[in-house]
Amino acid sequence: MQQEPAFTTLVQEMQNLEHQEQEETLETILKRLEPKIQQALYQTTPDRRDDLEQEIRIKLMEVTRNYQWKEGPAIDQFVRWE
Amino acid sequence: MVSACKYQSPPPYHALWQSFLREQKNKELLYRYVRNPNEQQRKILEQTFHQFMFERRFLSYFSKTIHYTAVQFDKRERRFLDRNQRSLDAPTSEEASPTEISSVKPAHRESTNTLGDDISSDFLSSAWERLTKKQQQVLDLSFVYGYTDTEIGEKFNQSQQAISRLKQRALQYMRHLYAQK
Repeated sequence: MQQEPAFTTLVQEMQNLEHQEQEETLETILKRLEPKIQQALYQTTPDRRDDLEQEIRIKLMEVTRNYQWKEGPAIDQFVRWE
Repeated sequence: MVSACKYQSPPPYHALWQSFLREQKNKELLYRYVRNPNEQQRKILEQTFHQFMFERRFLSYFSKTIHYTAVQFDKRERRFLDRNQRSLDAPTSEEASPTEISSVKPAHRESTNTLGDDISSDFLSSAWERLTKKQQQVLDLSFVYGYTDTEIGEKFNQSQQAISRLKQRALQYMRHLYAQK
């Protein structure tokens, strides 16, 4: 959309690539989510934060790989012609 | 041909649609389509909207994933510490003398390590014997071998919830017997 690539594009890219080639795309996604991840790390004790961060990254990778696309609603549903 | 355009009263994506229109350039796309309703304009509008929608979806999906992973992580950590503490506090098998070993021995298990062997109190071992075979097995797997409920569930072809309930009930029963003692 704006200067950052949209999640939609990134996730699609992820799913089109082989697992070994996904690294760069995944990195972009994670970078966009970085603040949120950092915030979530406060959930746990300081010495466990690295582990948690890794856990979150793995989880996000799985989640993007396995994302099930659903159809969006048709646009005419929002527009009523009179 | 000028057509007036309104939102349908209760459409499922209403709120999303409204916030979509709050952006000026999206509004213009809509106006362009309304003024000149052809397939191409419709496609552009629809694509932009879908992109907007998926962007929102992903953002909330990802945030939720991050949040719950963090919560789960701590929970698992606490459970792990909890469980290991318990196994350290429990008497080891060398401490229990042969005469005190309970007679309970599940026949079909590969290993004979069972909680029953470790129980030194008469009361506890009699309470242990009043549990069903299944309950004893599940407690063994859980506390002696440290399996998770999910793994035990896979062994018995049951859900994690069922195992958890079974375990809770067994412990509850033993506590109940203890209270009556």
